[in-house]
Amino acid sequence: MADIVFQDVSKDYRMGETVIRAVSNVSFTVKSGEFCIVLGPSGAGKTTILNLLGGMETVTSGRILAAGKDITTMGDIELTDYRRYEIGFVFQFYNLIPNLTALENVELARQVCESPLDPEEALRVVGLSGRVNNFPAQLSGGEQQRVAIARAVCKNPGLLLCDEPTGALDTETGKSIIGVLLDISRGLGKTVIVITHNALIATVADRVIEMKNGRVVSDSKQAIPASLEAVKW
Amino acid sequence: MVNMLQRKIIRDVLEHRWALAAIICVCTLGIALFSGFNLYVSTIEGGLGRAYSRQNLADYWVYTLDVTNEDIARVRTLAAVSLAERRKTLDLPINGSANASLRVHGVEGKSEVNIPELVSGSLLDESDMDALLLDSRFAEANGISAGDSMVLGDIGQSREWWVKGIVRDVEYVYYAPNGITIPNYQKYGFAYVNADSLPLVGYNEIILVSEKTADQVELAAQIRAAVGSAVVIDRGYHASVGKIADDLTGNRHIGTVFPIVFFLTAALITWITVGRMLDNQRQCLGTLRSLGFSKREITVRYAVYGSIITIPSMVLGWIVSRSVIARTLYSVAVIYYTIDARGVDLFSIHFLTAALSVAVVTCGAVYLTCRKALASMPAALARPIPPASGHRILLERITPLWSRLSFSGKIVARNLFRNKARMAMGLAGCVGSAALILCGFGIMASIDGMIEKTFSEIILYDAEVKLNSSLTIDEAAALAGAVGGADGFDAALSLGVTLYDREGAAISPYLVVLEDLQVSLGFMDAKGGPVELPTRGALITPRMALVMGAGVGDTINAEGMDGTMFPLLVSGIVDFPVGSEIYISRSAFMEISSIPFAARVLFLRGENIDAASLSNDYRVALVETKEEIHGNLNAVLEILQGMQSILIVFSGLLSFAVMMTLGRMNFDERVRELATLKVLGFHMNEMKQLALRDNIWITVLGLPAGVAVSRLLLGMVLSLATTSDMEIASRVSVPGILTGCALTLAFTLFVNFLMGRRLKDIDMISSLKSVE
Repeated sequence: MADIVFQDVSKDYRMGETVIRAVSNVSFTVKSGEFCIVLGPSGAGKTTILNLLGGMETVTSGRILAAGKDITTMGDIELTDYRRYEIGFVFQFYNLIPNLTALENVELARQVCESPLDPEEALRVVGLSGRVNNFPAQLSGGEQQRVAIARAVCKNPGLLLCDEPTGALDTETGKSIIGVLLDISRGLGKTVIVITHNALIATVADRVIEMKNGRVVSDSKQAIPASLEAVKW
Repeated sequence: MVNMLQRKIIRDVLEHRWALAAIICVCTLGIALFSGFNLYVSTIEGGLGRAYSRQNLADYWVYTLDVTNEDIARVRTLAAVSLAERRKTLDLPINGSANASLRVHGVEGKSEVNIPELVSGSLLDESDMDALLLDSRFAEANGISAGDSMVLGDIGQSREWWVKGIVRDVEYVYYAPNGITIPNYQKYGFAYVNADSLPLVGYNEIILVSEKTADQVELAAQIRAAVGSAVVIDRGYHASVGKIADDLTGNRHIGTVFPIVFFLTAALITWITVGRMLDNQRQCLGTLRSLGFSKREITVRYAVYGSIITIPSMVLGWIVSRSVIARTLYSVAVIYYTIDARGVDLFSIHFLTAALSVAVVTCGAVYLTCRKALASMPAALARPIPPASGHRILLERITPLWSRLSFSGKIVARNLFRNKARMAMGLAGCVGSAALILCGFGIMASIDGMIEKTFSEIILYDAEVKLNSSLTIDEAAALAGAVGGADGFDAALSLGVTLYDREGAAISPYLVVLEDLQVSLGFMDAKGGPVELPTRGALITPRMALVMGAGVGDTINAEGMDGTMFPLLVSGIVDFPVGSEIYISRSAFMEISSIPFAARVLFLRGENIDAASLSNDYRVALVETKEEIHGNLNAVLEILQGMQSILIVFSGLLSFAVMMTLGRMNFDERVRELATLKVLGFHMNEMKQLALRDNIWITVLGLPAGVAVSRLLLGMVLSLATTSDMEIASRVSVPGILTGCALTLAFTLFVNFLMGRRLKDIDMISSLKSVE
């Protein structure tokens, strides 16, 4: 996966007569294989950044380079392929398919990829090899989020996008999820971008981009990230 | 002043406008179908009922040879008789024509029973000796108006009459004499004259009105005792009154059974949709409760859903029922029925019943869903309902089958069985609408089958000639031989007889005596096997067997017009869909009667028979070619065929609305899952396979059950539509079933196509934002 580059990206939402600028002239670069955290309070524009990068939203102006391509020039079908082959998504509320078991949810993602990982291996990576035949309703929130991560990882994408992955979880479970994401980034060499409003998580990241009112207020590379065990929140 | 809660609900309604519109359509169709058929029937029945009471329709017609002053006086003294009149009744040919006649009634003074209703001109005075009152339909068909004159009577005995008035009569609402299939107002009509203007004719008929409490059998016996030998016909078996009552009963039955099934399907869909809409409001209900709104306040406000569906459905249902259904059927009816055509009534009670049912279903769904939801604590309500938990389905236990299913096949199978209630409702909707559509096609196939069978297997002759008087076989042969194109014939003797059914009421079929080796009529049993005309005993129709309570081996006693009794042994029951005749062979007839065999009816065979050459023969009363009989039968079935077309169109619309509602609901409830698939990078075709294929499976699974239910429904509808002179057997038509199934499937595919287009518009971001 090549570097992720945002060049002067803006995004406006039109609500009738009013135009709301969610993201304003944002530029940053995330190196390949980095574990990056986008930090900021509610309404800062973090989710918009993730949606733009995930090909779920189009920019108003600016360019976004990902997987070596300018995704702002892509049409609907190209964007679908981009999501299909390059991106893994992890949602705050897991969004598992309720009538598929953990393993089947992961297999669902494998269906649409060219070089997927073995689903059972993906579940082992996230530490869930014991409960692969359970349905989502039979799993705890943390376990469901692990399935969601396994589903994203199984596609073997270059980029993993996580929208508040710990938002619905308690501290310990949240911490273990971040641990899984760190392992994936460092162990498998994937670029992982995590969105959160929890500044304490940021200490473990390679790069922290802080946002406020739709703008990047700081973009810092941490040479020696803190170890997860040291983090408390 | 609209408060905030009402404002919220109004916005909810606007948000669900398409789902509500679909439900309004379904309810409109239900109301329209149920009330439309019944509005037609009640308009005709109401109009007839008013005419019957205004014109004082007789309860009994008594036919005897000579009604003396003493006879009529004795009848009038009977306790059960409230009014009785005698009259002279005879058929007079028109202007010497052999095959057009008027039934003339000579009445004493001013009629009090069967009072003719003046349409134009004026009524008769006692001194009018050359004036008559003429049938309005006959006058219209022949361009005769009040003030014109016309010649009646046989050649040599004809007499000129002055048409003083044009009238309608409740006895002649449907007048098809001499065994013709439908009224022919150009040839047949009625007239009233003063009895004294027919000095050579004796009184031969009594019409009477009885007390409502009178016992039919007892009264008939008392009348016979008072006037000697007589045939007593009550209203139920009167040619016009009975025929219309039978028709309307058949129509009402079809108009009840079919629409009730239709209505149940519509109600089910309405219930499900409204219930689900409210279920989706669960969290809102929790918020409202936590804000301090009472359960009653909330329920009453949500009842607006009920009225939003009921009121437009009532208005639209009323318009469609009256302007489309009832008016279409009424316009066909006034062609055949002589009624005061004032148009379709505004309402019938059925409309209110249907509208009330819609109100009960919609408000009931709102009330019960609210009550169930509001029974939980506000905090519990405010929490989202956990998504339906997945579990293994039965199919998974059948490992060889399950392992062969593709991944998407497994998802579809699980999705189908995940929400059993949804599948059951989907199936019920599909079964109901498919059954209705198939029943509509079934009625069509059955009517067509009946007509085809009648004209290819039963009626084997090419023209039927009814004679004015009996001919010897040689004379008949000479007559038939002179007809161009005729290469063979069979002669038959046809006698009007009277039978008394299980309740003692008189019915008057024809006893048709056929040559033993005749080849003009094909007889067959219920299974379609050929039946020979027996040399002992007679053949009757299943309808007559039912009315008479008679089976093979029983003897029924038929009474001839002159009082002769014919003991008829039932030797077979034959499938003869149209008419109410008893068939007997010449040799069987010879055993029970001394009446010599003579020709009254000729059945001619041959291609291109020149029927016109017979029309001026004075011996011929009526000639009908096979094509004419076919056309007339089609005309008789016109109302039924009109109903069948309405049923098919409405069932199609219902089916579409049902599929649309179920498809949308399935889509809306899974939008989050679909958004997830979209984010994962699934292409449109892959998503369609996963998301929309279960609609097709529900349809495919529902169709066989729909076929089975349609058979039951069809059997019920047709048995209820059977009248004393027509029976339509339920018939399985493979093309009909295929068309009905294909239509249902096509609707599903079309709905899937529309939903497939909506897949593109799923907003991935808003769908995935929160658990709502």
